Amino acid sequence: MTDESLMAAYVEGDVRAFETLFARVAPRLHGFFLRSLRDSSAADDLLQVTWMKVHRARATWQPDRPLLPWLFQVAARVRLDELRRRKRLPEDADEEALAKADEAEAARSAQDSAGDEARTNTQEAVRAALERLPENQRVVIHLHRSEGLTLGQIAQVLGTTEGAVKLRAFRGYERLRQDLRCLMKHEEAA
Amino acid sequence: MSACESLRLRAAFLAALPADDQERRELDQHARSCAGCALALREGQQLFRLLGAAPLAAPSPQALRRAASPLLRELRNGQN
Repeated sequence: MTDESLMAAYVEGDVRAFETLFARVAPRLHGFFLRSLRDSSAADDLLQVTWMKVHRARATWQPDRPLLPWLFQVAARVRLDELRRRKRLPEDADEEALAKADEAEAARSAQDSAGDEARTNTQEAVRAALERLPENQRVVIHLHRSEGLTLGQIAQVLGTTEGAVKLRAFRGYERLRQDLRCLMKHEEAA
Repeated sequence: MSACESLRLRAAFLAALPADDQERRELDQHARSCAGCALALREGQQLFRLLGAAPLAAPSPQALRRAASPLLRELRNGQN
């Protein structure tokens, strides 16, 4: 069954459909929060908040639209609330205000972690490079690379423009390329 | 900035786009006759593959149960 048909059955009150859908997508929503916040305990909590919101809003889901972007849209609003709280931003701070606040913070943490390129474990090096990205680029790369969403879908999920998402994706991929260049050369030579 | 410099600067991003994307197609086509841009494209593709090598830890069964339990209770009781 597709995610959409499971969701349609869940909306009608089918418990088994909910269980199957939850088992399929909850780890992905958790991964989104984990990539964004780098905090598994917070990801656990936000997963719960997100599903509560999904449950309350399930009747508003439109069956002719793909489910995953809708679920990530709910998760992205939960993420935005959490980041506003953590960064002490006003309640009306939007995705772009958050991105600006994020850039300076990421620049500081990049300086703090200078020298990490000596890591030899590929998985660890890639994970560390992703973590050095500003959060606003990291979530775009995650939704694009790991979740396979298009740039247009990511813009809808995050409530911003496709141009803004494209810029973040460009900056994120380019920064990762620079960060992982040594590793890529090493892998190519091996 | 020359056309090649601009393409190489965006190669990591363009390599992550689907093969039927207009900008990606332009890079693919150009790279057939430009060794430097072909190299940048390969590097971008390699990066894209490499990013799959950073799997995230799965949520614990407890965290999943905690998120699902209240909803299951509601569904079983036929509540909204």
